[in-house]
Amino acid sequence: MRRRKTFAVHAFIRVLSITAFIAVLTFIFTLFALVFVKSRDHLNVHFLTDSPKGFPLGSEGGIFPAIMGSIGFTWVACVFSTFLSFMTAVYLQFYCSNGKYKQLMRVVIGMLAGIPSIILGLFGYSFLVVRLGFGISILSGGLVLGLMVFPYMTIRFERIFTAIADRYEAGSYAMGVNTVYYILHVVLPLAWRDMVSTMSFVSGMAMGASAPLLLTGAVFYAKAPKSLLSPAMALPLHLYHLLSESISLENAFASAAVLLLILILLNVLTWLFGYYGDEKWMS
Amino acid sequence: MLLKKIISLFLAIIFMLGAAGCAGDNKREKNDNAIDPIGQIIITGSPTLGQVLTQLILEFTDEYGTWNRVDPLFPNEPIDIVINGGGSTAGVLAVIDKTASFGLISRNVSEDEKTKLDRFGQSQLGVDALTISVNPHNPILEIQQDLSQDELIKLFSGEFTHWDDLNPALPHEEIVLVTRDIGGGAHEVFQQTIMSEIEVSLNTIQAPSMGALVTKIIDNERAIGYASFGVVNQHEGAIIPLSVQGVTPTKEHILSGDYAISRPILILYNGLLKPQEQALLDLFLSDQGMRIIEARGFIPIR
Amino acid sequence: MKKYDDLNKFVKHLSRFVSFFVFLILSFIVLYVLIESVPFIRSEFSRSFVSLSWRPLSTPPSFGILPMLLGTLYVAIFASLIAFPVAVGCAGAISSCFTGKTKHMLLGLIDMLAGIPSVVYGLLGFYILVKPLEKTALMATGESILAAIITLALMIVPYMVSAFAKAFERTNENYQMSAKALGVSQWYSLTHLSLAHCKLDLLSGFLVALSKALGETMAVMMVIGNSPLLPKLLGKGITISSLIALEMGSAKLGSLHYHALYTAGMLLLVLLLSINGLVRLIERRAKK
Repeated sequence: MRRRKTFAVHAFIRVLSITAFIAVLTFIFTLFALVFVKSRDHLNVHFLTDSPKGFPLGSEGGIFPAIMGSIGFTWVACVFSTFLSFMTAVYLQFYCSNGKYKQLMRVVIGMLAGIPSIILGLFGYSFLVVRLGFGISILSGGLVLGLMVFPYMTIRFERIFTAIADRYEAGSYAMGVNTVYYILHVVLPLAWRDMVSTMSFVSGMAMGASAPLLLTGAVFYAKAPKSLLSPAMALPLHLYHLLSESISLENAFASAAVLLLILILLNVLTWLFGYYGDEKWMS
Repeated sequence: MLLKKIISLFLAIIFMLGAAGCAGDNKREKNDNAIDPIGQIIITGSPTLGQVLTQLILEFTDEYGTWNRVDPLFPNEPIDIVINGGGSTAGVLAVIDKTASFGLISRNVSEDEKTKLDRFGQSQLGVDALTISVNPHNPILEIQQDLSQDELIKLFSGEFTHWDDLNPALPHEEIVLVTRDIGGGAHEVFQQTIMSEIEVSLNTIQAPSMGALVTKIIDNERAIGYASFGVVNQHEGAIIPLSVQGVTPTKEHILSGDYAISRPILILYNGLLKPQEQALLDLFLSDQGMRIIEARGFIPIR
Repeated sequence: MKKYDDLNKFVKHLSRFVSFFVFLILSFIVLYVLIESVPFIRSEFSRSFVSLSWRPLSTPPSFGILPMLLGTLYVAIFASLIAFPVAVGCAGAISSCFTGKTKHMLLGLIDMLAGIPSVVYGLLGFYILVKPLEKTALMATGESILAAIITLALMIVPYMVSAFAKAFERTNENYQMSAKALGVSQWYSLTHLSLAHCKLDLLSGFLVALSKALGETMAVMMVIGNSPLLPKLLGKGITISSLIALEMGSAKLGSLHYHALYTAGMLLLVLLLSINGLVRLIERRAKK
């Protein structure tokens, strides 16, 4: 009796798991297939290099300013976040001897990660755009995106530093070098690949985010941004406009395809650098 | 290496910020004209009007490229115009806050809003109207082509929930109301002219732009909404306007005032315009501008 | 090594300063949202916050946030509940049936899914769900709570799978030897060991995904209809994040509407930070 019941439970879980697995794989495949097939006719060089065209604007493609804008936002976010994360991780890992402070910082970082992106956008609007007077710009949008991705980057950096510390810290200090020497000559040469991999992962996150930019950076139409203080178009928001204002479903798919391609590229970069990083000091 | 990294990052950031600031200064050095370079001109407001004017602005930018070709007294800087959506209210706010040079407004500016502006400036480009439109397959077209104000109020307040509430000859299907969101100019115009004290129902699809509103009606046979005259003209045949209080929404009736739900197409600006901004305004009011406004289905001011 | 000593001091102080900055940032964010909410809370209309009617521009205005709050909870909770078994099954299948390189690749594929921007999910939700739903007789418009739930569920499955697979892998490492020695199959160890052992991990993964779902803006905004009504499965609804995203642009700086939106944001923030705290507590218990 018990055997049959156990068998039934087993079989059920097996079937459930395999079905779920197949469903997820099917979904991945459908997603990419749908996006790329629907955009087949519209995705060409002109689409990528022109400004938005057609009436209503965008119905005849042209997303170059949006691509440039997204790159601008992501660049600012990455620079800001890398600086902040690196410094924070360095302090927590190498200089901080106060356990309570470390714990508190981890809680704070965890809380920052939990803040929804639209709230960050609200904060960015009220503080960066209005109070500090940056206006709707790449700077405002980029900083908000940087805030969004910073916790993830910090956690990853810490993990990288910890893994290195496990192996090399004792030995280095035993030889009498001080902390910054250790950082410069031991940690960085080993970690830089993983750090670059993290930067590209985080850039992917920043590039796809749209909610924070709604209020702080992105506009309906602008030329490719020439300075940090100019407003710019953003690729995910352009997609949203194309769809919600019923301008062009096909071009929305084409924009999605471009976004996905950029993300795949960043993912490949992440993987490449991560892979090489793994080999070096995990052996 | 760490220090170098930090320093180079700082330098990069400072450099970019500096470049942003210096861009204007450099140009100032180059010419000793009395007219300062304008930098970026930002226009915010109704996405419907934005679509129409963007065409005009793109033609303008393509034709001239730099301001000094528009007028030799202007400095030699590329024409850089940014267009932002958000609705008429967002446009008014942007002009008040000075985050935009021009606001694209598709309703009248309220007295309260006027007082918030340093100096009120307004130019009317044309006239638009709100037609009450339905899908071509909606059976109401066979039975009743006119709606009285009372019927409109009952429809849009949600008192009528199904089509047969309006007219027993219609099928028992749910009415799908499509409206603009509360930031849109159309919302206020409709509320004031037709609904007066009674609130529009919350059970509507709030479209972010007239284009979306019209598309919703085109896609859904049970939908009805207050669609812009201009945008309806852009989709002629795919969406059918009904008459209101016996008056059909034609150009003549709108201009004469017989058709009740009309609204102005305005450019709002704050006080004194800089020369380049004035040139842009002149463009909007020019024959070229009027032609494009008419071509897009709206009624130009002249 | 003198120069390294000076450099060391410099880096130490700089990094300490910057890390302190992080505290400031968090406090700033919470404080700003709080400060901008206060004028509404203090106003005479704050009572209307707990009503069902969101009419910020009427006279008198009403700022009922309940439909949005309920909409947010409804959509996120159901989406998480649907995603949960799918994710458990998928993660289970991956950890039991595949090894080494293939497993790594599959998990990488899932991670890539997690990296797909929410607008793309919104687009897909619109095309696959909203458009067809509109043609059926079930509902007046395709935009609905149902579409939002399914879209959101699709979005959070990758996060859950990722978390669960990692949890299962840890259990595998621990018990692999013993399980193999006893001649137990992978499936058996999955059902009886992993699932039982990882209960707390499963719970925390569920809550993390729930918190992502609660905060999600774009994907939901594109398929939910955005009407400030009480959520009904086949009807339109709205979430707090969509409300803020849609109405912030036209709310006059300093108006009651503006502050009410910040108060709504505060509500969402409190909700999410509480769930975050809960997850932290669970993780601490799991470590024991």
